[in-house]
Amino acid sequence: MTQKKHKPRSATAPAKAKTKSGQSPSKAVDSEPARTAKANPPGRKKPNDRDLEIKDEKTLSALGPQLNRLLNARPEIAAMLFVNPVLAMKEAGVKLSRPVTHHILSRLRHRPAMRERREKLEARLRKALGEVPRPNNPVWLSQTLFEKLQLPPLETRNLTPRYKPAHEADAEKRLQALRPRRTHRYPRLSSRPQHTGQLSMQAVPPPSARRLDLAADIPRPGPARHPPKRLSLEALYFYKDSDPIARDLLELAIIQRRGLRLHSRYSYRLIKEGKRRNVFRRWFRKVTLPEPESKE
Amino acid sequence: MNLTSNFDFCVELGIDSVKEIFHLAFKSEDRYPHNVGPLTRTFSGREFTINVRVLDDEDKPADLSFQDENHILFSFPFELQAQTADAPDPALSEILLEAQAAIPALLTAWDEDGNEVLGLSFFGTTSADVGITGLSGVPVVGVEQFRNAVHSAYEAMPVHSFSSGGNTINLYDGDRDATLEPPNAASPYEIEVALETHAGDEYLKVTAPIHVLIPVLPVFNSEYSSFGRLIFYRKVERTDSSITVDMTAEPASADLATTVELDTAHPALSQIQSQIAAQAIGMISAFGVITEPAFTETAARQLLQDEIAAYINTRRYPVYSPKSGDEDEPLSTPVGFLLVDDGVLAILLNRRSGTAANDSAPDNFLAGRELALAVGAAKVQEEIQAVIAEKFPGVGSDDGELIETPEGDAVLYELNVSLADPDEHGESEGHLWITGKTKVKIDCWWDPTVEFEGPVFMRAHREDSDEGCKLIIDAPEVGDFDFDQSCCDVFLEIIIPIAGWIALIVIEITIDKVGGEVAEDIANEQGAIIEPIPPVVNGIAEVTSCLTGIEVFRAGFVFPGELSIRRLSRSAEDLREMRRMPRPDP
Repeated sequence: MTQKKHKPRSATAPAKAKTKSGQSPSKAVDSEPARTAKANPPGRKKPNDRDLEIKDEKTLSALGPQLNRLLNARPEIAAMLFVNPVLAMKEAGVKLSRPVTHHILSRLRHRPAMRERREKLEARLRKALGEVPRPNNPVWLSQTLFEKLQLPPLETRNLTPRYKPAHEADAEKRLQALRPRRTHRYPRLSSRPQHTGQLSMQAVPPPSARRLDLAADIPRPGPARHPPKRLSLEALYFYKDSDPIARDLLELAIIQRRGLRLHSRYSYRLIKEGKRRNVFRRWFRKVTLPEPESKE
Repeated sequence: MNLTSNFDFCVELGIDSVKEIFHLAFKSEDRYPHNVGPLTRTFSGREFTINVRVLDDEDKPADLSFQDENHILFSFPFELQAQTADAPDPALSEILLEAQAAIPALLTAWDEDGNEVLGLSFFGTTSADVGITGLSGVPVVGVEQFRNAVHSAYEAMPVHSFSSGGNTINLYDGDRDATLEPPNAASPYEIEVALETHAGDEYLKVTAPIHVLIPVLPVFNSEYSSFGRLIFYRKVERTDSSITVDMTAEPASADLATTVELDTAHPALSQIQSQIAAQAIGMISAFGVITEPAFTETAARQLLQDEIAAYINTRRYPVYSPKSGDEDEPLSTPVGFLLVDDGVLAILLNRRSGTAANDSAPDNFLAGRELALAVGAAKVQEEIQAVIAEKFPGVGSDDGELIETPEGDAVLYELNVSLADPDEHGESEGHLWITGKTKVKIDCWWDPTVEFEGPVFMRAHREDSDEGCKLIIDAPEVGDFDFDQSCCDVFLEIIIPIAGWIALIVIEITIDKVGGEVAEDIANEQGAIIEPIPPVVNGIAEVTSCLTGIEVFRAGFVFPGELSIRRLSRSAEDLREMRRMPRPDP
């Protein structure tokens, strides 16, 4: 369990300490399923998961270990937690109330600080634009910037945004040291061209909108004749210093991109059935959730 | 697939490239003399001056083939000119033999001036190793040559008029001696020769025109003179290397006795002819012993084999010298193997295990391309471990490696990268197979432990510009997943760079070890200016090599490439083609 010592525990968070200490949250649980779950640890007998119902956050907190055990017993579902945790839980037989569903999704989509920033940006943009901001929609973005805000179009073709490095510079430096020393072995070859070959590595990982560097100083591009009908985030990047709303839109878009992508029921099914590719489905061979009670 | 045997690295070149280098190398006449001689040799007591010219042109190209695992068979067309001042047959005083010599060279390594080189050695070549084909120009000594030799011998005689007991015999040979009186009116006009076999032996039959003058015939007390013919046989002795006719030796057989035929009738003609024939035997001895060096084709071939072996068996030529460039890290001796059926020259570098006795040929990974470099799995794995250790030092420890990203944190406990062949793990393409274990930190929930595994495909492509060629290592792929899909793909952002760094470092180390050059970094890029293989072949040819991609196998990585080869210096042939041959001073 991740310890967040510097943060006050959320009132709605699972009572990790409690559970670890063995205090049963039985009062908050529909009693029969809880007992069933306890009596049937994984590997012995499949729990009657259809009876596990979580109506509120308190119940969620209390039933956490049992829920984990339930998911561990269904490894084919456990990996799907990263596709859509709510749908995965429901598939495992857990009934979630609407508030609990909302709670889980909002919690998992972003870390708290990012969630807070997103909500602030969304509120500010909604007020400024009079509608829900949709910065990851290129058509909406074009209409907003060039029709609603009347910003002059900029010539952004062939321009590359600045990205924050995906990795720490120290590690890159250490890796550089693994490369062989440079040599000049054939200096006397007079007819040799300056060089015959180059070897270079493309940016790895490739540039991602998630890593657009909002703080970078960039020269303002020249004007464009016509506004594009679709505006990508990479193009929006060059408007960040032109207008505060444009900058907020870019930041909100980045935050949205950084959120856990929660797939729709339809997409979830396609991924589960292998009809749609998904990194987690492809790569995650086994997902094991802690089962605090069973450890004790 | 065996890419590097018990070595770390291997370079493979196709036979066409080897031939191209060979032809260019062979144009360097200072290193590989085309003209050998003059040499002095004595055959059958006769001194010959010999000059040999080795050819490699469009009409008569030199060539090579891979004979076995360790030998390249060179084929050189050559012309051998043998001159002697006093050949019995003047036409044979200069002969020109043409042939093709096939000489095997051992592909081996040795130390030369402190550099470990791989080269071709002719040390120990024996006559039996040298093949001679297409031999032509070996003179056949027949009637024509004997006729010429007899004419020549006639001219060498100090006198052609022989007197004995008051009788005079003029020996004619056409008008070769215009001083004789009376002038030649005999038949035949010139000396005629024929080769005949009697009792299994070969004889030279000579019919020579003569004039006989007997001032006083006994009994008749009158002068007798007549033109006529002297007919005699001499045995021909042939060996593998010479033909000898001893004109001084009258055959024992009465049937082959010297006879004389005179044209002027006389009652005592028979007695006169017998008398003159007896006198003529001594005259015939003036022709002496005619000996002609005359090799049979077998003997000529043997002679050439002996001479070539004697010339070549102290010679060796370095070809490949992978200079380390680092005194602290010498390269082990390069070891070459020839994959005969595939037409591939494989050069192994840096023996990883065993001794020379354990060395074995790698497989053909060239696959019809011009050039390919390979690095073995063990070496790749070394670099993989080094990259992981530098990138994620905590991996493998109890605490793991904490990876913090704006999207979320995780602790990486295990990360393993292995090499996989095409068709492994259900993937048609060779790939890195990555497995690992991580704990994903989730706010307000228990952290799940994720065990993951999956393929990473290495990608690289070639780009060309005015500055040369460029191999660009593309972002490794894990399929058609989009990096920018969502924060969750941060997972890939953690995994994928490892593969990129592995590719970069392994390629650079391979280049460094096979003797190419990683000259300098490219500004602001993960990359360098490189010479993938040594850019010169023993000071003869300049090699421009470009890598074109990267392939992954369980046995290691392969970097295919392309070559262009150009000679460093100009030959006389080049200058002639360019019409820039030096001219004499006006």
